[in-house]
This record gives sequence, C-alpha cells and structure tokens, in this order.
Amino acid sequence: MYNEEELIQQLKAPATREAAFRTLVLEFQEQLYWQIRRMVLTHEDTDDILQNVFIKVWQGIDQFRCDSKLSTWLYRIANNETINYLNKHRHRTISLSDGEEPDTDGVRIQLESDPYFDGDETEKQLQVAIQTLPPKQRQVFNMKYFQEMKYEDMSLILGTSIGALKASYHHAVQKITNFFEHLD
Amino acid sequence: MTLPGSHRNPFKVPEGYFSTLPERVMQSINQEEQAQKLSLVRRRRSLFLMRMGIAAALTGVFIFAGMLAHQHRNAVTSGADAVNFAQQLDLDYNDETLEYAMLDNNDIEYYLTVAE
Repeated sequence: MYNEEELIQQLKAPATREAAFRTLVLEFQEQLYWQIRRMVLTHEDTDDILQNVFIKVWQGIDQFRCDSKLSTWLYRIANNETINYLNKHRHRTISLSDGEEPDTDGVRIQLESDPYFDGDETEKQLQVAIQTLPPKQRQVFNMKYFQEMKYEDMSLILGTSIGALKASYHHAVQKITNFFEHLD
Repeated sequence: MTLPGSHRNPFKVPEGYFSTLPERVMQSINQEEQAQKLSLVRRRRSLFLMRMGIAAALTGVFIFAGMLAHQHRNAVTSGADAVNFAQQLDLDYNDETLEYAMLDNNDIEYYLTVAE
C-alpha cells in the first residue's frame, strides 16, 4: 500500500522519479488494464493503449496539480486514450452511433478466436451487446457494472454529472436487455 | 440490476504480463525521449541550414542592390573600378550575413558536428 502524498512528492523529484514511477505502474497497472480491455477487447490493443497511458503520465507528472486523486487522474488519461484509440480505429468498432448496422458477428468471431477470452456463450453475448453501445456509454456501463464504481468517482473521472451518468447507465442496461430479448 | 451473464471476468492475460510491464513501460519512455531528442537535433539543423540559405539569398540581394546603386551614382569607366567594387561598397549590410556568406564547406561541416 502506498502513501499518495509521498508518492506524488517522489514523482515530482528528479532523483526519485523513476523509482516512484515504477511503484505507480505496479500499483495501478491492473486497474487501468481492465478498464481499457473491456473497451477494446483484445490484449494487444490494450497493451498498446496502456503503454501510451503510462508515457503520458510520465510526461505529465510535473503538470499534475494534486487537485484530484492520483487514481482519478490516471483513469481520466486511460479513458481519453481509449476513446482516442477507438475513434482512430473506427472501422473496427460496431457502435451504433454511426447509424450503421452493428457487426455483431464480427465481434463474436473475434472473441471466439481470441486465445485470451474464455467466456461461455452468455458471457460472449454480453460482450457483444456491450460493444453495440457508443464508446462513452460503454465506459459508464463497464465502470458501474464490472468495477462497481460509485457515481461520485465516475463523475470526477469522466467529467460528467452524476445525473447524466445514471441516465447513461440506465439506457445502457436497457439496450443490453433488449439485445438479449431479441436473441431469444 | 442483473443482466444475463455474470460479473465474472472472461478475459485472460498472457502469463507474466504484469510482472514485466513496468520494465517495458520504462523502455518505451526511454525510446520516446530518445526520439524526441533526435527530432530536436534535426529541427535545429534544418533551422541552421534555412538561416544560411536566407543569408546567402540576402547577400545576393544586397550585392545586386549595391551594384545598381553604384551604377546609378558613379559610372564604371574601367575594369579596375569594377574590381574594386566590393571594397568600396557603401551599403549598410548585415555583418553577420556577410559572415554566413563567407562560410565554406569545411565550416558548414564543423557547425553541423558541433550541433550534435
């Protein structure tokens, strides 16, 4: 367990920066990894994004103003990098925000061929359903459903009001429920 | 609210991924910083060469203007006057510009090496 104030001081001091940064990576790597992985699905894409996140953290340490928790700052960077990545690789996503028909089969095939996915059929369908959500709504859903994050913390990370987050989550759950009803 | 499927995580991670990630991240950071340093050196070289090019062009302009001014004020009556033209230039030119124009290839190579 780390002391946040002490870690921030060590990160900002050139002599202790690298050692403190390694501590930060060890502390947060898994949380950030799964945050990203649930959005982009594949391990390779997640690894790329996560590396970029930590590079951005390293480069931005001096600008970190300590007006938020370290975890909030890290999650924010991870979410932004993930959204940027998804926008850049738009042809790979199946979000309905484009107005196109979702390529649910494509996602299903991708999951079935992924050696790092061992979900059963229902879990696979759930992941396909989640991928039909627009990226930001997908983030809200993942953070609430899988990470059981409080709305207050999500609001700080995403910069969205608690009311809007609740509405977004409610809509996401409704869409996923409808998705499963259409399967039956 | 419960949805079909569980909260179980169906995704897996390659073995040893998290234990090696901090080192890989530091390597990526070092590579990124090296790339930025190299980019900076290249930008400085380009700027230096651009300045030299501008200086050489300006020198040519000044000399040409000087020639026109000289012809306008004093008719060149002999070859000796033309030869002495450069020494008698009364233009207000940039000393640094002339100095740049007098650089030869050895000087250029030296400055580029020093810039590294």
